[in-house]
Amino acid sequence: MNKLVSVILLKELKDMLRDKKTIIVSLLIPLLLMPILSFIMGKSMNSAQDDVNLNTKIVMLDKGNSSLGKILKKDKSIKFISYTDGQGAVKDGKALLFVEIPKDFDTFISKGNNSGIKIFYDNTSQKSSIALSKVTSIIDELSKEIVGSRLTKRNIDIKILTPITVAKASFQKEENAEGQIILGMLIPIFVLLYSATGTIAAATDLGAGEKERGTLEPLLTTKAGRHYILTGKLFAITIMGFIVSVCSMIGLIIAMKVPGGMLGNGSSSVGLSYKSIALIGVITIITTMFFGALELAVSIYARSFKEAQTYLTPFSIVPIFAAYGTMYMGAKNIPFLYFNIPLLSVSSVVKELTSGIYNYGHIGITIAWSIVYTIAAIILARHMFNKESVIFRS
Amino acid sequence: MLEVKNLTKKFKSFTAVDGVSFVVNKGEILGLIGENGAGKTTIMRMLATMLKVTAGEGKISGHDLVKETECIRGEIGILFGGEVGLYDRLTARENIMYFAQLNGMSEGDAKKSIEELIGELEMNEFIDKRVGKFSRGMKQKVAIARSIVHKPSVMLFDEPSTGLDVSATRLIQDFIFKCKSEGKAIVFSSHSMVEVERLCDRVVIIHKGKVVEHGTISALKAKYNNEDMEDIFVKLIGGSNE
Repeated sequence: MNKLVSVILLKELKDMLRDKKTIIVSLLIPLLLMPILSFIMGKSMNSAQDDVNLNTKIVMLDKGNSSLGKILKKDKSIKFISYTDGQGAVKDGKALLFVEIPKDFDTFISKGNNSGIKIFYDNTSQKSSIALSKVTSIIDELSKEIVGSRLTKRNIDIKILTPITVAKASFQKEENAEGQIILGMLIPIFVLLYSATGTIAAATDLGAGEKERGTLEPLLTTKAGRHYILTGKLFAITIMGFIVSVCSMIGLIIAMKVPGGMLGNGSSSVGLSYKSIALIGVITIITTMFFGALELAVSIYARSFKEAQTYLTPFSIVPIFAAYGTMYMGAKNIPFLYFNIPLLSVSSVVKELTSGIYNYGHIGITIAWSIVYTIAAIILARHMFNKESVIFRS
Repeated sequence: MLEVKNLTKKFKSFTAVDGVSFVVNKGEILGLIGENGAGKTTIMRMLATMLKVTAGEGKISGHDLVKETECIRGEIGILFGGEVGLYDRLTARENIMYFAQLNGMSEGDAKKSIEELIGELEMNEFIDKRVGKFSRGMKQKVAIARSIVHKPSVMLFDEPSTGLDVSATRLIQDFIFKCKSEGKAIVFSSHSMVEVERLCDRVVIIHKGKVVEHGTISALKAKYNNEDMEDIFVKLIGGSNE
């Protein structure tokens, strides 16, 4: 590397890494966000489930002291509370369900007829929905028993109800498959999002920030040509962006390993091969450099730090759209066209790689296109950096 | 040492500097005087090769202003007024070292030069502290050291005392005299006639990008039969003399 470029690169990295805000926003948050979020959300979901499982508050109106009512009462996890207005109790959140069993429920059942019961629940409450599924599963069990005894009375084998039995099998263990689905959905987003957003702070500081501080003019009067200055800055931005992306992905993997977390509940296997990691790394570096160059061009154009931040806001939104393009798509079914569309190609190929698919045609096309876009972005940044009306825009 | 002929700068259809010529010899201080927007900073930026020259020619320490920009940047030191433009998260030494290295100095030479400047500018107490919490005067010293660390032969001062208090202004003026005594060619732009009279050997008065008068201060006073340079300036740019 040219000596001047390395002097600029080292200075910029030192300058950025001494900034507490940079450390917090660029390194700590990406590293800790997903594990903390996953843990909190997982904890909250599990706690709701545990809460309902241990203490299902129900208002029951069993008009005929039915067998169903007795079965429900036998369940020690269900707590029956008394309210004259059962629906009102559910609405007010005092009960999770209001179950109404008609007076002649047992009579209808014993005669081989059908009897309806009413369950009122709050479909905006997670706990009420969990309670509903708990109670309906008890009712389903009772239904099966009733059907079974009716068929037995008629000397019919209960197997008549299940003419087909399915034995499910797959090449991947359940916990591995779960991890792979999560990675396939999230890693493309992380690569794109953090390649774009991880470079914003650095690009803003090294472009518009340099103008605002008044350090750009002294810099331009040194023997270091503008192309060396630009190259040094671009390398520094890319390195920072790459570090942010790596931190975010480490954060994701930690999140998957956190017991009780939302992502994989700690049991998910992260089955990424070294080859996948290396190829995702290469693509991330090129994508980061692309965004870095583009953002530096925009930042140099801006008159001030604040203006640059405004101009750079869309850079944190656009990559999400590209990532959503493949989010719910199977890694084996991505159309060839996707590998030729900016950003979508990155999302597509990263999704393939996280699924262990090594289609070197797709990888080659994506890297080639990414290099083309990156060169175009660097040319734009260089143009901006050489343009007097941009550099001295005030 | 520094010579420009018919120096012209156009921004699209607007002519910011129009055929400006002057010479600055070794150990001489040339004052560029003009109103805001007269073209002083544009001239300075062209001399510092930050802006490309639209027309005209120039030589700085024997190097062509248009064709040998990199060589010229190694020959000039520049000090700006207002915000001094330092990196707050770097120490004073790191700031100076950065610019020394960007001006092509080896680490050894740069260290030696910095040590000399620490003594000259009395920066011992804060040289290894981060610039962010420095007073204006301390920052000014670092900026001075940065501008001269690579031992330039030509110094450009673009309204360097803007916003400074008396002692910081005096520090700059002493520094300018020191540069003069070392035989550097100096271009000094300012609004302040008092400062110009105190420092400059010759002045060039710029108005709307053109040179409207030049000469030594005593010659101008004699020519216009007026002891007040401010009166002479106002008269030359066509303003009120009341």
